[in-house]
Amino acid sequence: MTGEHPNAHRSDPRQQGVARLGEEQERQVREFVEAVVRRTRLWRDERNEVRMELLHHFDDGVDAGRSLEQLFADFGIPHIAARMIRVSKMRNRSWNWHVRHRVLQIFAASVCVMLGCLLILLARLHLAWPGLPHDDIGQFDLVNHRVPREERGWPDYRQGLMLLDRTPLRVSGTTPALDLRGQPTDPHWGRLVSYLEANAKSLDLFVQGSQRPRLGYIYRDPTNDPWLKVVGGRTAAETYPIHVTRYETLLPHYQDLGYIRSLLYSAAIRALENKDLPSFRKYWQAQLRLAAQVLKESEFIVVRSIGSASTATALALLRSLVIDHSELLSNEQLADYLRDLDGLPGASKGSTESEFRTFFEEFLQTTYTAQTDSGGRLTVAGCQTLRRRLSEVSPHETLKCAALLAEKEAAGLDTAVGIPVRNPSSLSAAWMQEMTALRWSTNLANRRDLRLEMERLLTLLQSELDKPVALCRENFEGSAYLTELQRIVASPDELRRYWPVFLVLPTSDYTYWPERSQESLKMLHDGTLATVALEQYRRRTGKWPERLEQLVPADLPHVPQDIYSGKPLIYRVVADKPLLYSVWRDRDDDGGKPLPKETTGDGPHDGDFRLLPVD
Amino acid sequence: MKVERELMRGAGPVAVLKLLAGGAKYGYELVEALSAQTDGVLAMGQSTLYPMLYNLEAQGLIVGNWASAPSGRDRKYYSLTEAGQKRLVHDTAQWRSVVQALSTLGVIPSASRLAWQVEAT
Repeated sequence: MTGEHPNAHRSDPRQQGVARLGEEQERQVREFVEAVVRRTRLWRDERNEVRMELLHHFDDGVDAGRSLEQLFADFGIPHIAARMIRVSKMRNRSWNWHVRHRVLQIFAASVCVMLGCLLILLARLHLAWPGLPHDDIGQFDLVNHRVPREERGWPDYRQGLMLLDRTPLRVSGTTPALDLRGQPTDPHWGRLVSYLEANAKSLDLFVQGSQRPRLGYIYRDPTNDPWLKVVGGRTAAETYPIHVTRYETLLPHYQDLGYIRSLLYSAAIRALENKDLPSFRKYWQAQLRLAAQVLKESEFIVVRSIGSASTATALALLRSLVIDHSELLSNEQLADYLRDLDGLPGASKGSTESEFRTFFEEFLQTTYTAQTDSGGRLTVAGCQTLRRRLSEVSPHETLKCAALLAEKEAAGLDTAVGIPVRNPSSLSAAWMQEMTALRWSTNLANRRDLRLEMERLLTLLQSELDKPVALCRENFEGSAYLTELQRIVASPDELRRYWPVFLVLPTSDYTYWPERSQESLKMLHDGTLATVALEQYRRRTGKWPERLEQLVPADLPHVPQDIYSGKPLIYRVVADKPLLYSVWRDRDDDGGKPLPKETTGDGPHDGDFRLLPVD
Repeated sequence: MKVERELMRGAGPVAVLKLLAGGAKYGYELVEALSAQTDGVLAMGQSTLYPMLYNLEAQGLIVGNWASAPSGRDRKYYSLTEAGQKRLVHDTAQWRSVVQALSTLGVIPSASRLAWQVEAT
């Protein structure tokens, strides 16, 4: 049966009319019937047939002697009649129309249900707010606000930095940027020496700053504004708004401290070239003290690495002085340097695990609502944070990529730049962001569960970090911690719930840098003490010792250990010069062959780390 | 006396089928017959009758055909189909069972019961 009614060809009821009625009565009947028929909202043929039948009904009623009023009264309620006629007429339609109609009904109902759920979930997401406003930068500043001005080195550094001529530090036409670290053998040494002389006032201020016990950098210090304008074009208030922590903005002063470190190093080299030992010691001590200030102040891994590197450079300078320029040093001066080495902060151990914990707590605080009995929900601000962090995933962190790239792609983030977090450029981007946020809010573990998972993984990480480098540090690939991370990556369900932990947790053995650099620093410190002891032995006996054990206990309290092999550093005399080295991370003794210049934290290393001679 | 709507919903179709068993009828004719033959008990207006006819038509129990009356006016005449006849037999039996049960309970007076029984024979 089709929608075309078999009787649709019947004559038009309007033409047949209601013959026995007067014109006015006929109009009333037609209007009445038309009102009913129109309300049925049936197909045209169906309406025609119903119209005709009803008109004839009235006609028959009048023929039978009934009044119109009586017929209208007996008819019933028009809109109910229309509805019932519609329903019963539709039952007469073909089966395939019924199938299509039912499918459409189900589809429409499903869409309505889904839209309803979507709206509820969106409302739930948008009504979620981070529990407590958190201000990391305010917390950082709180500590340094308590440090008296005369104990803070940063104001002197800042003053020196403002006096520093930055023009040569930028590429200008064909002239490359000036490398502030240099040796007399470097081609740019002459240019660097001129720069040092031109900026002697800044150098003096840097030395003065290094003599203060603390660095004392205050992020929201308005007196930093002129300097911040120079380095970043914005004031402190603009760079560090209240309750907003952008970790990428936290290190501008460390970049400039890097300039200071390099200038102090080059100034020390220049002093050595001029055989000006007092100046050398002044700049050398300034490097060590600057490193100590940085190590004391910062909780950031990257900053501790800068402090460690600065200390390592100063130690290398001293070893070079003691062995390569021993004629400049009296026994008393040698003893002075030994005293300077006492109490170096480089030997202190950092806490990588606690740093990750701090970052994660900050992450939870700004991305989830407060933890409640139901756990704590993801917020819109949290989704923005997640989106920003995803767009910053480094491609070299392979495990992170495995865990996060799919999520990044699903979130519509371009692998290079990502969709702008704020002010999306198009409606589709905004819609995609909204849907991504919704997916995250329904899929991700709640705050309580995410914290529990993080705690569990941090415990595993800490157990790895607690192991001595010589025993386990190089076995990161087989560690229980990494195995557990890999298990989560391989489990779609767990990954869907816990992937944000990969934004915070370390997933490659660069994790060990700060720990390793601290322990490495201890090794360098002991090796430098051994260097001084070697020189003392040579001055006393007229020759280098054959074994390090000969230095103990007269010149050295103990034989320095190689943290990578767990054995003493390797020592021998080659061409009447001492050779002292660590087997480094691969634990292979390469005969003291120096490491390649470009050594990264990952991958195998062909070569050994040489303490003597200084490379 | 008019019956309740729910009762009408059950009794109406079988009443219409019964009337059509006597021959094809058009809408107004059915309205008149229902009113006259049931003393107005099962009287129904157009708003009830036509949807009921369309429903019965949809179920294949009746079929409507347009034809010209002697007066020259077109009318749609409804007649019972084979399925409609079977349904009438089935529904009649059902209603008798109901009446019998109500009679046993004393809801329907015995005289009426006798009348029904007589008619059944």
